[in-house]
Amino acid sequence: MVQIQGKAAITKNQAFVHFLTKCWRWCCKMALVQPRLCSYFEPLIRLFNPGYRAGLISAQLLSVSQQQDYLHLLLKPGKKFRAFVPGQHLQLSVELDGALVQRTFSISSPLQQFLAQGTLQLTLKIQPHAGLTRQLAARAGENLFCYVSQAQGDFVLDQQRSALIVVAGSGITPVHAMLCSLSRLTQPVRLIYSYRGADNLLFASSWPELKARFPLLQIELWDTSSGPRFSAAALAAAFAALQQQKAAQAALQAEPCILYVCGPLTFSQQWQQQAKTLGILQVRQESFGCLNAADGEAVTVTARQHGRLVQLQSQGNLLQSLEQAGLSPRYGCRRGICMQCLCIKTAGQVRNELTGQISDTGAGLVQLCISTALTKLELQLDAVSTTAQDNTSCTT
Amino acid sequence: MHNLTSQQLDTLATELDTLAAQTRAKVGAEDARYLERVLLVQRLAVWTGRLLLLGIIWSPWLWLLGVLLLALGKILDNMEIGHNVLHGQYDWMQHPYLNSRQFEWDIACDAKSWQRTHNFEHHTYTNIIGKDRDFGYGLLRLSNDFRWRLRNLWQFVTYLLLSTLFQWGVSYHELAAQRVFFGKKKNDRHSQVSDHELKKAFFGKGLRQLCKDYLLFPLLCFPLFFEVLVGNLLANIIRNWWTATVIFCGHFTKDVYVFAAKDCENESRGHWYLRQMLGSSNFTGPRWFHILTGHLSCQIEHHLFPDLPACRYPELAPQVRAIAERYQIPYNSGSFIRQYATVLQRILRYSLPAGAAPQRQM
Repeated sequence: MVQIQGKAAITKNQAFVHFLTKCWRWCCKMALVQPRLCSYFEPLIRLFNPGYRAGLISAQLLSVSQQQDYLHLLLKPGKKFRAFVPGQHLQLSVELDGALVQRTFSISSPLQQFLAQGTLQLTLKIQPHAGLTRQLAARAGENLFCYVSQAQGDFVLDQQRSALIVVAGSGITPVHAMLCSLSRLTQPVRLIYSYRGADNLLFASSWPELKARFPLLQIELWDTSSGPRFSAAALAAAFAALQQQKAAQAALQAEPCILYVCGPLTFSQQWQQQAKTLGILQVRQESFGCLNAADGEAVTVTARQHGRLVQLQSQGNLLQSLEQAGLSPRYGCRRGICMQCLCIKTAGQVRNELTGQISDTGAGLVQLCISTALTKLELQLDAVSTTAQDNTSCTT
Repeated sequence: MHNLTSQQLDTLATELDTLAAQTRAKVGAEDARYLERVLLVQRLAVWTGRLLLLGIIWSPWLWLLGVLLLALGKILDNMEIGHNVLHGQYDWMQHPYLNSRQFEWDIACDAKSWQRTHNFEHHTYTNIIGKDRDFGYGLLRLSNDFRWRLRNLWQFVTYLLLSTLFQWGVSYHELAAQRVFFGKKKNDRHSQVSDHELKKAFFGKGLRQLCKDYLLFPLLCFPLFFEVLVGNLLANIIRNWWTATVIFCGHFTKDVYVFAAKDCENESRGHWYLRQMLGSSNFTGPRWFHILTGHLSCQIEHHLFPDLPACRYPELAPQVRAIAERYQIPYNSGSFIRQYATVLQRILRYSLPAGAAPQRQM
């Protein structure tokens, strides 16, 4: 009973705080015509602090170092950044030529480093066609303004369970954070890491160190440039080895193991399929990059409207596809002038039919009437509400 | 009369598209910095203005300066910032709130409602009689295509009132079109927004603006309640007159063309471009003057490229003019005084049923 009363009191308090926040927002909206005080005064604050952006957590870019096809960014996020769980990712926004370009990256450094020095490392693959990573590589010496979101995602290590981790390329980044943050290991863990060429082996110094620290950790490195690619048979063998290791440690709980997969989209899909055939029930996966549809091929679009999530196959014009799927996005001129159909794209790439411009893969605004989806796409169709504003101001 | 062949219209479209692409490639940090500077000046003008209103205890001149600065702040907010941001000219910046989805401006009109009537209706159907309700705002008879009514006799007074209350006219514009309060619903009008939503936005935004200008700020300066209230009222009226005048000079000058709906059905991109050039008029002036008009002094360029940052229009103007000359399309430009005189002339001329000169129509 007491607990229930306590709970009720908290919600009452929360409701009051919520009410006060609402009143404050209304006052700002009335007096300043902006939902936030700090966004109204942003131009003045930027006079003294040029990196300031209302609602965004600024991060100091301490260093950029290149390793073959990869970049390591060392960032020191501002005080508003809460800690993270190793394995999580965040949205990095960088001001490039006046525009805030946003992409999602996994944190690759251990939690201890953040707690001790307040710094984070992001490791990203330089994409020859993607604006942000290429620009970051080209402008390594410049003073760039960076912003980070809070860390998010549930691709985190369950320390109570044995794990089989299969990663490729930059998929190693969250796993590196997970393993380096461990203080002790009580369950067998087997990591299989595929990379192309010795120069592209990330965190090369960490692996022997980790192996020495944790006897229960087995690491298999697959260099696909000189040796064979990681195959289904190899996965089966690794799984069997892990089971054996588990059996040897009979004292441990016999909980089934979890398969962690992280890599390009095709890679993740492939190993998820394999997991089923091996009888691994629990899979945690994180994938990146996108599948470029061939010309004229339909791609999957996920659209959110009025709290409803709709998935459809889009081919050609986005606005038409959405309408054919029974959605009712706002529209106006249908020729790219009026911005009525502008909506938030949270992920995926589109092509502007008028200018031929191809968007970045991160979050951004999209004019539906003149856009074609090129990759798997996520859209937010709802007209702006205060909550939507809050969300985007944090993520955009 | 303009008789460009469909082939010529296509090449016109290609040329203008190329021009847009060339400019779009240049848009970047410089434009973002420009917008930021304008925002900074706007914030400083508004707050200095509000503080100077209190200076009335020392001198009425300080109060007057305050009114002018406040009006300047509102003009910058509405014209160079609001109008252009709401057109999506700065959407490429991916700014959390300086984008056409989220921006709200210091005017009685709800930004979304304005986007529907202005961005969509006016920019898509520019000067098409019966479709572009901005041509006369449903109050003024500006061409012979409209039947003369008795009320047109005193439309010059209507014009003066409209300019004085312009922000409310703009705010009510969509509700009038949808016949929310008065009149019989039109069958051919389609809207994705319900009357209830329209009313909510109209009263919500209007009330907030009234509270701000005539309650909150006067109350904050309580002993000077009346002086501050009058100062705010005056600043709003100055802003109203300025915006109305600039907009009238962009579309209602003597030489602008009007179009019939049937001639624009399934029009090509080239035809749309042509219509934008013929339906708009520019006026000249120094740089600060262009900024105060939100670069609507380059109305032709704005109508051709509504989503390019407006600060690029002056550099585009000579190139657009050269293209127009090559295709022998009239390029309607003149001094502000001359253009404004022809606007007044037009309002007066069409207030009478007789004596109306033949209307330029394509």
